Amino acid sequence: MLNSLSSYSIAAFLLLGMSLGSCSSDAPSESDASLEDEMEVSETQSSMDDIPEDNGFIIPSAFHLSSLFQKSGLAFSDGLVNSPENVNQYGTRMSKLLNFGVYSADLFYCVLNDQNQSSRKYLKAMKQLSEEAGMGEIFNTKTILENFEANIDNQDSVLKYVLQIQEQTDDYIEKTNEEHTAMVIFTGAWIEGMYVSLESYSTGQNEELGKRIVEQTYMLDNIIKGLELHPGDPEELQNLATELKELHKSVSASEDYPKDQYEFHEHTLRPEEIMSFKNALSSIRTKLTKNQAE
Amino acid sequence: MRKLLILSLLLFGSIPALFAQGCDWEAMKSESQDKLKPFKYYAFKVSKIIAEEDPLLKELQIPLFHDAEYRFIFHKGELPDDVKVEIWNAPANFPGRKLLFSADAGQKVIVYDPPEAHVNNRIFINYLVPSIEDGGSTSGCIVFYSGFKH
Repeated sequence: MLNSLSSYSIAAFLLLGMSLGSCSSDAPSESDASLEDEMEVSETQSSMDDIPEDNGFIIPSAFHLSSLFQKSGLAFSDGLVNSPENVNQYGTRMSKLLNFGVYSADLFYCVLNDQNQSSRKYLKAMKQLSEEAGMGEIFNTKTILENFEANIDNQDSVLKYVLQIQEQTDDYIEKTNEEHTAMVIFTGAWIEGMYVSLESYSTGQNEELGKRIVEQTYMLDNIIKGLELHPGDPEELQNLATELKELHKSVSASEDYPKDQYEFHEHTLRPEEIMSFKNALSSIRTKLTKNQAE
Repeated sequence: MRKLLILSLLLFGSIPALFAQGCDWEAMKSESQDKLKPFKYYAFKVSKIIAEEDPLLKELQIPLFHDAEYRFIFHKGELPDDVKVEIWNAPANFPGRKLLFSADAGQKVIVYDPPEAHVNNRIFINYLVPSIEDGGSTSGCIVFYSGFKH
């Protein structure tokens, strides 16, 4: 009941009045202008009176991000990933969720590089963290794990099961109305994916990989908003959001950074700017995986 | 006092029913899955819709990445035919934004493969819900289900 009530008030804030005719042409009209005014009022009210469920941002597949990095020349290096041996050192629910995301990025990295034994270890670490974070339902169906094990040498099958795990995680999030949890998991995966890519970039300064890295930074504003909207304002997430804000500020201060994100940009930053970004992100990632953020 | 209690029960008791009505998102998602091949799962989102006496706009932002191919599927379930799905290059409050796609009215399941030129850093889905006459309301949901080519 409470959930439904909360959802009702959230939906009420998100649903905005407008003239239907105004959206049927490309040109902005007077009706568009009045809609903008209504949206501004509605957003202000929403932030004052209620905690929004989400910021209207659809969280992308972390596997897709890993595959894009790989296509841009990300090579495999065993020493970059977070060791599955660290799984027992995450004490709070937030650190479990963040490192569930970290391990999912590591799993995708291993799967895409045919590192089958490592993939198995990451899957087990994710299962443990999901159970400890109260999301055991994701791995409750034994079929996925059994099929994963049985087909570990067949990359197409392994990819299928990995995507199935990702989709079951999203199903769990939808059923439990925990979109804020999805953003925490995604943040962990995003940081780990970026960390591995930046470390790889630092060895060869592959230009394609550099462009991909810069492209990924366009999501930072939504990640930060998602963490800031998390119910209860957990200190770990607020600290992480503050650090990511600094990171965003520093990368977007570059003259080469696109100012208009609604058009396509294939810009890259200067290698020294990417290296500076790498150092700042590595520090955040170290705190996350070594559990220094609690 | 008794009337107030009855009114409160009717009002709050009807809210869960409003969401439950016409939103079997798991079945809608399952139907959408059949249309995804040969794309791999990218993301999904269930948007709850309540149409009342004022027209409504709900906006979602999707991050996209250069050189990737995507498929978007929208399942409107039991919502009225005149609930529209549009895709824009920028949010509703951005002056001069461009309409990229508008689904034909009456389509219950919409499949859209954005051309490469539309795959910018992010695009914006708008769900447009017309008003309901005579103080009535209708509710349901739209399932957005998407894939990418690996």
